[in-house]
Amino acid sequence: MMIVRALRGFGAGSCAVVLGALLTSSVAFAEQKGEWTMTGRTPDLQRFSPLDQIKPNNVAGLVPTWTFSTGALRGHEGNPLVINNVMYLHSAFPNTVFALDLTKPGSPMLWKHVPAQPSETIPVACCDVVNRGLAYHPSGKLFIELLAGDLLALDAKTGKQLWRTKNADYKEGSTMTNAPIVIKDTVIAGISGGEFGVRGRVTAFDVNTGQEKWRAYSTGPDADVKIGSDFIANYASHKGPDLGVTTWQGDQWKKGGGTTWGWYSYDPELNLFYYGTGNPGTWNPDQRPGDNKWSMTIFARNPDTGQARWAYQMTPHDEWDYDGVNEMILATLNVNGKPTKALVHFDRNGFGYTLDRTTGKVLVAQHYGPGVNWASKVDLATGVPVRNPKYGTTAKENTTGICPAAIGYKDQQPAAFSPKTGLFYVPTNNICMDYEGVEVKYAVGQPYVGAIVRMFPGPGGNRGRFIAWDATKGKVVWEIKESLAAYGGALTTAGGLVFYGTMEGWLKAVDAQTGKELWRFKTPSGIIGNPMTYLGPDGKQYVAVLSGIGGWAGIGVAAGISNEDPTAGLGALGAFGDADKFSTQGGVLTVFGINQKVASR
Amino acid sequence: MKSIPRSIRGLLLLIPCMAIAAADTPEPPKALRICADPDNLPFSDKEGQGFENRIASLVAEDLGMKVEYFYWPHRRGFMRSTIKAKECDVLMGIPKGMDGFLVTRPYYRSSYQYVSRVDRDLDINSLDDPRLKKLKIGVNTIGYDYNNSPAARSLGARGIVGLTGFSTFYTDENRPNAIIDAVAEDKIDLAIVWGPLAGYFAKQAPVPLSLAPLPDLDQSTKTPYAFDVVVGVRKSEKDLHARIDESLERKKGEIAAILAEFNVPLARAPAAAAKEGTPSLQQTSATAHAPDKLLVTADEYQGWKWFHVYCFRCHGIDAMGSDLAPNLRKSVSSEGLITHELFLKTVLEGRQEKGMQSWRELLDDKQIEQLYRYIKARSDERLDPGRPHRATAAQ
Repeated sequence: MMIVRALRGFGAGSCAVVLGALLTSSVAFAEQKGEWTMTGRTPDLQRFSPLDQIKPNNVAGLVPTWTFSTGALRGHEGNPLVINNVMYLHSAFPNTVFALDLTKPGSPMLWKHVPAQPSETIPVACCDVVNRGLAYHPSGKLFIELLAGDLLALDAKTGKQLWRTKNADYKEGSTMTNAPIVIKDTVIAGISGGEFGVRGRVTAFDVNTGQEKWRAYSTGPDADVKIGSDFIANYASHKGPDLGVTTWQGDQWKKGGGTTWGWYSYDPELNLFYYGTGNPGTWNPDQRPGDNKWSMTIFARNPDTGQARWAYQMTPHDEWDYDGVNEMILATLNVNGKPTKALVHFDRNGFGYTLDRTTGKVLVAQHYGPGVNWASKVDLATGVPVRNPKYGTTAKENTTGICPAAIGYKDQQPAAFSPKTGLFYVPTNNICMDYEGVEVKYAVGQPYVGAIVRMFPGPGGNRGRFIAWDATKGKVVWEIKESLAAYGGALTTAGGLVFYGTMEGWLKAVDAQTGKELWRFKTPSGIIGNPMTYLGPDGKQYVAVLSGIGGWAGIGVAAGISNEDPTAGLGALGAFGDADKFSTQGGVLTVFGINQKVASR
Repeated sequence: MKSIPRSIRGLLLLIPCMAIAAADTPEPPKALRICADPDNLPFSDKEGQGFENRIASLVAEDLGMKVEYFYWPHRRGFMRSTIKAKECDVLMGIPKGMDGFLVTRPYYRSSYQYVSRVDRDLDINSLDDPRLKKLKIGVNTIGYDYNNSPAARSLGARGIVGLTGFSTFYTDENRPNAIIDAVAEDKIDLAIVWGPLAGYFAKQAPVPLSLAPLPDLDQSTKTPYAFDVVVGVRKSEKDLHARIDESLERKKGEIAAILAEFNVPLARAPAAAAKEGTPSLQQTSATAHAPDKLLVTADEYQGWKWFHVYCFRCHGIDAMGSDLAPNLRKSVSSEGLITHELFLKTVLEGRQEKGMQSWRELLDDKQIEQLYRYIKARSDERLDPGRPHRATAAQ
């Protein structure tokens, strides 16, 4: 249904054939270009809007037009959806869902739904009680993954519960935080809990009934991982049966993590959906010799069956908590002179990857942040990173000066791609760390972190950077230094703008070509959510962003943690211990529109 | 008696007053009533931060008693105003050999130390070193004359005079660390200081200081420099004395840990003392470090690791507490209600009604003890927040 919009971004020249092939199965979206019906707007996760009313020469006139408080005061990741002049908004725990009527002044509430969830869930969330947003099915259903572990379907008209299905269990340490994806009549959900020794998986449910269709694990025998005869293994280290068992010691794979809490994308032509898996459990690498497949892996799966088409493990035998869950952005790029159906991914491990998303072969892998030192490069012949043993970790000693930190040079904050400039806009962290393993036992539902991490600002001392990236070459095109991590997502528009938020609470607009800052506005709390844009019923373009500091980077403020100990908050306090000096808790959506008087001044 | 070092805080002055009445009430005491100086770190202070406070608490807890302090400065009239006035029954930290009390077995042995800056490279280890005649040497004094330090006696006998005196009558201006600071600031070249005082303040000095022990006995003047330290108990309290004596034996491991925390340089025990159970940690080259409030024992370090993979989720980083669970630094402090024993039990069994789980599956007894040591160190404010590191050169 949203297929055509997904492909709009591919650029005029190269995609005519693709478009033609898909038009038959799609409704016309021309009039819907002002909507935002899924988390990344389109299933390619480009976070590109074709709206162009707001542009470099009038963005100075952008002013807040209305605001809305979610009533929750923890980290607010994700972004609202806008469908048929209704905005659907989620909150941090307790994961309240709101419907706001955009046709009326001040966008009053049509309904709200507060799901019942036990508060004991809170300490089971690793990095604040965030939620990354909603998914929508055109039959009028909304889906949200509840922290306590249930996938909830709501009637978009009334806010009434349609069904609620258990997918994770906080009592076993698994929770849910990510935005599910709707593909045809299937909704796919992931789990969080890599710090609790859970076994990662993605699960598909029937949108109408909530019945499970299939479940694919990140570890274990091929049958569980859904690796079959048509699986493409590009590298020697990826070949062989049951690697999800044999690359672990004993039955460690059963508590081996590989959670699935990131952003999911989908290519309707290949009928493959893409996501990454998280850290292997425990963080202490001494306890799990081996490659630990398929943690830290990009998976391409058939959404109808769950069967894996290909997989690529970015960080075999992780020693740093470099979860591979960050978004997989799909775009057609000219790589080595060839138009390529590419997948671009900015991993926590500091490498920006460009893969052929048909085959899973790595085409480009380059550092996108300064001073990456755990691995000098990725050997494109073997697919394996070339490590520097000096920055390996163990429980025997504290390894110092590792770049990037566990939180990665980029974490959940999703990047955007503009088919107009051909560039990726990437909010990044610039954080390094010391890391010391801890020999831990496993018990169901108990923390299984097994490492103590202290984070600190990376090279240059600025804790964040917002960069434009050429994924065909693996090069930074321009860069804006941010004092704090750029921990919110990016939005780019046909108007030639890029929007992103900062942890101080600034929403900024910069020129997509040059990175020159054109506008900024200070929202009530730090921004870790993703800006989005839509066309209002008045035919005007609006920009909306959630502010509400938290997440891993902002956990100190969100949870009221003291900054005395830099190892706190899984190490984030070392890098963001002063967070309470620049922001306080919040949970507010701010919506901006152009004030013509200001714009024309 | 003339061999007792006067700088063990004036106790020598008390000796003439030690005719303690022996007719006391025979009731078994519920409180361990300690006579202590309110301002005498590292030994004791009003906040209970001294190592003698800590050892007293340890013993009291072991005996199921409550500690009660009667504070009085260690000056002329201390005995008269405290134990003799029956305000308290127990004196911590007196040198073996003082009479007028029932004395326990020694619980540590230390010696006077030569203290100098490491960068001066003096390496003095003999009272007969000819350089001593040219150096500016600081010693502690008692009262208003400067003649009663054992070091003054030994040095005077060698023709070394003109020492710099540092009073042990502490006031707001005159602090116990003054003598060590004078070394650190190069105001004097060398100090000769009683071990616990030297070790504690040298560790906090801004520059590395070197500690080296004096001989157990200066043969030429028959001045002793190493002392067994015991607990003195009112003579009538025979039962209490016996119980404290046994407790010191039971708790000798924990006492050794406390002494290590305070960087007390321990002297090698004479064979006889060793039999009596003195902790006999061997002293090696004792180089003190710059102020280091992140230095911990191996157990405390491991406790820090456990805390920061488990407990911090609810009890907050550094045991500071959070919305979910209390600040443990307060709970285990002297104001708090969580005794050592209760702590171990609570971690092991949990407190379901409060949302505290049992950690039996994840932590064994030894690990929980390590956790306690870490939290105690934080509670005592001996350990700064942040990543601690293990003692290396300390022992």
